[in-house]
Amino acid sequence: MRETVPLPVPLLLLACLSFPGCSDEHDGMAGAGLPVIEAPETVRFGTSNPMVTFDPHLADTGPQFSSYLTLVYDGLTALNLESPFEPHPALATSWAWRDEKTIDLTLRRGVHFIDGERFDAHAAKANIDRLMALKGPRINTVASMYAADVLDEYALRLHLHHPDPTLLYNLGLSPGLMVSPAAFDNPDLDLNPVGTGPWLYDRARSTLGEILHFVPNPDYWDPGFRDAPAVDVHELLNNRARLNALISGQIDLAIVGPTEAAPARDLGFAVTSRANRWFGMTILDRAGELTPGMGDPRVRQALGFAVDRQAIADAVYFGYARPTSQPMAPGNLGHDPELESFFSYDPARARALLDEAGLDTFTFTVPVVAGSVPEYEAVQAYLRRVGIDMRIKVIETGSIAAIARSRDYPVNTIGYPNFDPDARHPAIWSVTAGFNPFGYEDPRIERLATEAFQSLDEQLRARNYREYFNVIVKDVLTLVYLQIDDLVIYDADKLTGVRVGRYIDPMLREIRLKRGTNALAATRVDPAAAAASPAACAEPPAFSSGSIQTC
Amino acid sequence: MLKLLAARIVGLAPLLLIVSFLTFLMLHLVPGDIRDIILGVDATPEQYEELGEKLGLDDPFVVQYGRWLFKAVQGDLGTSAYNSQTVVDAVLDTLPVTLSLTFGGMLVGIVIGVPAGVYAGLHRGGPVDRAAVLGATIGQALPNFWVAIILVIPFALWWQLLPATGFTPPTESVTEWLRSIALAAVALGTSASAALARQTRGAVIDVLGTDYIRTARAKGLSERTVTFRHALKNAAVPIVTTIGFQVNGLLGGALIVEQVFGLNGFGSLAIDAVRTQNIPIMQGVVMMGTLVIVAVNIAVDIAYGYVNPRMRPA
Repeated sequence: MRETVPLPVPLLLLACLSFPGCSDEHDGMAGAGLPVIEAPETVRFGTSNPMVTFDPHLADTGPQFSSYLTLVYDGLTALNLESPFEPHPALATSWAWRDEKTIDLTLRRGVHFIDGERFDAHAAKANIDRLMALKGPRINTVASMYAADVLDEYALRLHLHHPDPTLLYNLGLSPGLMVSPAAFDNPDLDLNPVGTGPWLYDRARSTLGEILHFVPNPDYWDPGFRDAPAVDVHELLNNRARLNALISGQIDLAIVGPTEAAPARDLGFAVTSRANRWFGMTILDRAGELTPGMGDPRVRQALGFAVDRQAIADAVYFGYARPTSQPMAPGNLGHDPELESFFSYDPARARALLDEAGLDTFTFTVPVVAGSVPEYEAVQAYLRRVGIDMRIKVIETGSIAAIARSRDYPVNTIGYPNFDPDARHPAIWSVTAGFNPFGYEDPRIERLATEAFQSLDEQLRARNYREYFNVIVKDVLTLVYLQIDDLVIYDADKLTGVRVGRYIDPMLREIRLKRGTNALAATRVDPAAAAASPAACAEPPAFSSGSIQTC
Repeated sequence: MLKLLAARIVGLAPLLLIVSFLTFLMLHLVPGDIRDIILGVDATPEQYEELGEKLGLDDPFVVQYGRWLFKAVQGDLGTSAYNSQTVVDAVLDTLPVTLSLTFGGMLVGIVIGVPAGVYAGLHRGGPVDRAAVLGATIGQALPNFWVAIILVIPFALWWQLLPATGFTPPTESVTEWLRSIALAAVALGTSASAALARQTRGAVIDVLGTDYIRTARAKGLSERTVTFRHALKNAAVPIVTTIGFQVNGLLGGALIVEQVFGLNGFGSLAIDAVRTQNIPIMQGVVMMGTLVIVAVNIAVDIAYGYVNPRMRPA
């Protein structure tokens, strides 16, 4: 007779698995796939953005992907969060404008790619030549540059079509990241990076779509990274899964939305944020061809006065957003403090503007991705109170850009970055912009932007862009309701130096383990080098300039 | 048995052809454009056009499908539209996760559902039977992703007994593999056990009312022998059929539950491929999913032959 297994036995086995004591291994794996205890020297980051390519010249650094690249590559410059257009030195230690269309870079000596190749002006020129030949997603951000000349082994000259005050900033993003020229023809360069960065990608231990392992590069040129921890990047697409992983100790920091940040804060985790994007609507049908009422600035202004921004910031974003009326965030080029509250919450005025325009009711449709429906439903409710019927059409996430390029809707709802007017003008408001499908032209903003973009005079640029955004706001070419935060939650007992970057991700290069949680890493420091850099970095090092910064 | 396998394999080719064509067609009907995702929001119209030419997106649909099919019949399912990862690698990286969840869920379903159904069927009308019917009704009504969310809260977040996310391959550690799929398997197995309990109960009740069971009892066989040797063996065919259906259903359910547990399985791969318009990956996911379902159906057919020799192919 066959033996049968009593029903409770499998259940008991399942219960047993819940207790590490039942485990056949006691290797410190408190969770399942994610190491928890045995690797205290590792920073474990939960991201929503899957790695797409390690080839920086074919990568789109905005709004995602950049964090992977900055671990394994160095740029000619490095992002300065506080002042993006004054980048930090990196592989270029200094630069000088020879004239308005020529810039000379002095390159760092003693740097080698991980394949042993030397970094010098020839390597830098080869990278720039490759960048321009490949014409990747970000080529338009360095389109002013047409050639690079080697002046000597560590001096490079860049030739521009026109003055470009944003070039150095963009050379700190993917276009300026340096790949070993010997690896240009590697068929798997997109999966196997060959840079000079402070971390090495451990491809053998990594699984795309699940976890990417990065280990410190022992030969990295900047001693400020000697205490760099290993970094594991966990690709967890679901916001709630990332929060759960943090709570259960499987990761140390995560990108989340406001819905997850609020409970994380209540549970004692630290929340850091940066207002990187705006929430609102960009008016595509600015002449009212598709929706006649939209051609009247008074109607568009009514859309602004009808909405209680603070209420939406509190109720939908849990406070991780701030009311505003302008696209550019405070401290950024083009921001005008006087525009901040241009649209107050004034439904009576909104109604009066509609009456002035001769409209009893006004109906239009907005395309909204599923994840943004709640905030647009809140706007919808406010608009309804003044007689505006805003209909929401839910669209696929991947189709939002294509729809914005079409003439199917009078507005688009893309939340653009809020700090880089030089990049926004040609994408959104210019007569030739991809997201200006009706070809609307405003000579004022064309002139102001062209002058600003081609000038190295910061005062002129500030003045022009301030005037530019006065037009954008008052004529309501884009209607902005809120500046919204990108959010990172983290275990503050373990990590220090966590800051949100300009593109959703945290500044991974800066994150360090707090003293006492990084014992293994501390033992790796070479005594001689430690003598040269006696204080271990409690805070992350800023990018070193010509002289190496020690902590 | 070999004839059965041969017939299924011969029938597989046209099936895969039809599925691949319909999948390719549907993916082309999905709104959106891969160029927007690759190039980002700041791309110029010129970049847009150049990338379209490079990817062959401007070619007629039939040409694009023909190009894919020509390579596929040679065993080349292509590479991701975004990097050089092969579709086969992407599928093989994720398949073990989803299969672990599917068969883990099925195991939970069988372990709970079949004994519960048998007991309820043998004690029809009793309190256990009523409780089993009520439990099965509730179990079938609960969406598995909701059960997953509920299970995570006490077991992973409060008590931290089991992991909230992540997957450990069995090749690394069998125990950790079981721990990594335990909650997801229970979440998936809840509805499967409910369905199995109902089917098993019904099958047992049907069989117990047949003439040969009455004859067996009349011959004086013990109730244990009647139950295990005659009743359950004959009730097994509809149970096996239900298991086959449930495996296919669990495969679909696993795609959703993976999201709750942050698992890099077929579901995550498929969702990301759809979100990013990564047609080669999506084609690979559907092709592999089809193969898995066909394999399950063949396994069910083979199982029929074992539980009931009269159903073996001649």
